[in-house]
Amino acid sequence: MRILTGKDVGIQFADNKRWLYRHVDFHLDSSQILALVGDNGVGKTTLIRAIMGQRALTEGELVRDHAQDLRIGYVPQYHDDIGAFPLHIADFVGLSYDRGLLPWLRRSEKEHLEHVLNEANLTEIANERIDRASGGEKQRAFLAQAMIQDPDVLILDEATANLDNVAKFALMDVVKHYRDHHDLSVIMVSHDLDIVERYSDNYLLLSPDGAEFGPIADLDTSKLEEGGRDHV
Amino acid sequence: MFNYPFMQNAYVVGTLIAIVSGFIGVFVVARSMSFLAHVLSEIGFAGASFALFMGWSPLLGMLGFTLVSSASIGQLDMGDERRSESTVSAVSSVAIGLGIAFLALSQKNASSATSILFGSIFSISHANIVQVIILTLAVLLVGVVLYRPLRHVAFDHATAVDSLPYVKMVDVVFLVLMATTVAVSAQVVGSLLIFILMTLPASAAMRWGRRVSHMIGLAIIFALVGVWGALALSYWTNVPVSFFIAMIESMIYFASTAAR
Ligand SMILES: Nc1ncnc2c1ncn2[C@@H]1O[C@H](COP(=O)(O)OP(=O)(O)OP(=O)(O)O)[C@@H](O)[C@H]1O
Ligand SMILES: [Mg+2]
Repeated sequence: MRILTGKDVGIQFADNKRWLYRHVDFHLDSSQILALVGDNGVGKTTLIRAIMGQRALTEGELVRDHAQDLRIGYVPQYHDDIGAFPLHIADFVGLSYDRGLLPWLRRSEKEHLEHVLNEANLTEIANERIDRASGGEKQRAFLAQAMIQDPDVLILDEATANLDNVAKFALMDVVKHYRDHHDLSVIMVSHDLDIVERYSDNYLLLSPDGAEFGPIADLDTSKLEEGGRDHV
Repeated sequence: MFNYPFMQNAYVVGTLIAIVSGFIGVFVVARSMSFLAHVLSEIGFAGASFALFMGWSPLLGMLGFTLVSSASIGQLDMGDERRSESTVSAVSSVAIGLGIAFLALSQKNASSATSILFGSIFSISHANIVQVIILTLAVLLVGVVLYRPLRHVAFDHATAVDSLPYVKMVDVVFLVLMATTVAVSAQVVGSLLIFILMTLPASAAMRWGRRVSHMIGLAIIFALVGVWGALALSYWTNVPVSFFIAMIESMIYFASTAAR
């Protein structure tokens, strides 16, 4: 089932009239993982903001085929304002229960939280402090936090960027588990070709001279040398 | 000491204010807005002096000024302290300048200036008590009803902006709650010492608490201990309440820094 289609998407900044890219076409199907690749500064995060409805496209359109109220879970690229307080990981993840009037969590929410923590392999460290968690544990907590609201699309913006080879696969295995066990599509921005090739179904390569979209097997990695393998 | 009505009033008002400052203080500290709270209290000082000059109640003057400025801060999108530090310092200078001017113009004696700056809980009027009770209960009610969104916005702003569709409104409501809390807390500690009820108990609590609810509970306890203790000590010694609250809360805070 088609979830999201980008048709002839173009983004230009109003202040300096620079086009980031034009004529970008792509689509996202249910239970697929789409890798968004391209060099630093090409506008990956900007496209994500557009997909989340936080900025307008200059031309083209993004069609939400699935439903009008597509729920998007987002793990941002920069997440630096946390970790200042010694919250337990469980409580931090539970911050995402942010609807409703009841100050405390309902029983069903508590059970759901436990389930989400379990899927993210966080059960054992649920009562450890988020500010002392390792980079990999923090990323899994951010991921769990994004999963709390049971999204249709999960967007990861360079979620594995600072993780070592063990932690990054641990994180991606959690993403894959979510994808396999929930009705979930994933868009992930990554400079890590190992990750991209191993986990994604399709890729969208952004560049100033045009975009390329296709099954991951067709990705020509030589086009990514600048931000590619040497990035890790 | 509880036989005196002024002591009973002081304890009722002090208790309510401690609860509301501890509660809102946790969100203020989590969003690193203590500096903004301080500036709001300086704006409140200008408002209170203006009210004196006009012959109104200082609390209402303070509330009016802090509410208007917090609403405009929300409009200007200055909630993010880092971007706006210099603007805020300029606003703070204007506020204190205006406060001094209105005080001089109102030609009241020095004691009214002292009570605005350092608090006047023992001489609080009946009308003021009613106002404080209504305002604190209103803040608590809104704070509890909006607890979930406020908590997300305060403790993880980066994801709250994507998760909550009306995050801008939550920001504005939060600023209004903060402004009201500043105005009522100033009744006890004065506008110069707003930190000691809004920032210190919350900061101390946030070193011990491992859940947001624990942090709030501890912040309220720390604030209550300070206010209750200070009222009693002040009654026995005749030294101002604010002094004892400042000492007790600072002691709790410094003891808590050992917690991590
Ligand atoms: N509001 C804006 N106005 C003008 N230029 C902007 C604005 N926001 C971003 N840019 C520019 O757009 C370009 C793309 O930014 P973006 O953050 O989307 O890149 P990215 O592909 O995510 O890069 P990275 O891999 O480093 O995260 C950058 O050159 C950035 O300076
Ligand atoms: Mg980016």
